[in-house]
Amino acid sequence: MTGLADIQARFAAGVFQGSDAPLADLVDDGRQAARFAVYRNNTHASILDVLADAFPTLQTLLGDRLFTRLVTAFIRNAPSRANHLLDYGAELPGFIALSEPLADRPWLVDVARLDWTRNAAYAAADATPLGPSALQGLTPEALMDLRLSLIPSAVPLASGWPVHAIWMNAAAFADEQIRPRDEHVLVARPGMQVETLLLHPAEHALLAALHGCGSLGEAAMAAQEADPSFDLMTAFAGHLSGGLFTASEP
Amino acid sequence: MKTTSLKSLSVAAALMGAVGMAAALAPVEATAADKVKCYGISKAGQNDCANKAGTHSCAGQSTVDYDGGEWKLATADKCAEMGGQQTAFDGVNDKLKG
Repeated sequence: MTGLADIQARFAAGVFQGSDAPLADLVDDGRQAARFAVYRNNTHASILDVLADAFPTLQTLLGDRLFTRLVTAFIRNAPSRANHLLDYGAELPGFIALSEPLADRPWLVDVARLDWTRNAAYAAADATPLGPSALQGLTPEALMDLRLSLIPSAVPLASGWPVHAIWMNAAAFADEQIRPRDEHVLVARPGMQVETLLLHPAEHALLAALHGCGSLGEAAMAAQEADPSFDLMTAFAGHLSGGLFTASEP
Repeated sequence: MKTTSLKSLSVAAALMGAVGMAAALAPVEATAADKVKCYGISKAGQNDCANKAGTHSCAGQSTVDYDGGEWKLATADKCAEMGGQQTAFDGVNDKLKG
C-alpha cells in the first residue's frame, strides 16, 4: 500500500504519535529519522504556541513545564480535525476533565473553558447590535414577549470556582490550593475588544435565559427569582446600551 | 395567579425603565459594517489578519509598532484621527510613534 492517502496517514501518525521513520520504505538514506524529527518538532512547537496564546491563564496556573506536557498529551490524543488552527483547542477543557494527573485541581477545567471562550470570541462573527431605540415605543406586553439574541461572541458562564478572579491575576493562584466559590462571567466582544465581566448571579440568570432563546419576560423573571433584590433595570439598561443584544432570528 | 402577575408587572416596569435608561446612556458603538481597514495604527502583535507584504498571514504576528503595512479595523474618523491611512504605506505612522 503506497497510495497517497496511505502515505498521508502514515506521515500524520508519525507527526502525532511520534514514530521516527514513518516512510522508511519510500526514503531510505539513513537520515530520514533526523529530518523527520525537524518537521515533527516544528509542528509541535507551532501548536504549542497556538494553544499557549489561546490558554494564557491555564498556562500561568500550570507553569510552562506542566503546560507543555499537557499540550503534548493533548496533541497526541486529540489531533486537530479541521484544516485550520482557529478552532483547535475547543476540546482541551474536556481533555483536562478526563486527565488523571490533574484531577486534584478541578478548577482547571473551568479556567480553561473561560480561556477558550475568550479565544472563540475573537473569531466569532460580528453582528449589528440592537440599540435602545429599537425597543422604544414597545408596549410592556410586547417587551415581555420579545425574543432577543446575544451577539455571537457573547457567552455567559457559571462556575463553582472563582474563575474571574483567577483570570484577573493568574500568577497569584499558581501552585495554590484554590477554594471553591461561585462566580458568573460574561465573555463578549461587542466591538474590537473581548470583554470579561463578572456578573451578579441574577444577571447571569437573565443572560443565560436569553442565550437559551427564552423571551425577555422569561429571562427577567428568572433574574428576579434568582435574587428579588437584584437591580434588573440598571443591569438590562447597561447591556442594552453596551450592544450585547441582536434581533432574534425568526 | 395574582402574585405571579404582580411579579411580572414589576418586571415589565423594570424592563420599560431600562429601555428609557439605556437610550440616555452612551449610544451603541459603531458597528462592524462601519469599519474600514486602517493601516498604521496597530501595535506590534495587535494587527488583524494578513499584511500588505505577505510576510505573515495571521492576526497578532506583526513585530513593529504602527507599521504602515499593518491594518486594524477602525471607523474612518477614528482612523484619520490616529494618523492612519486606508491604504497600506511604507514606514511607520509618525503621529502615533511620536
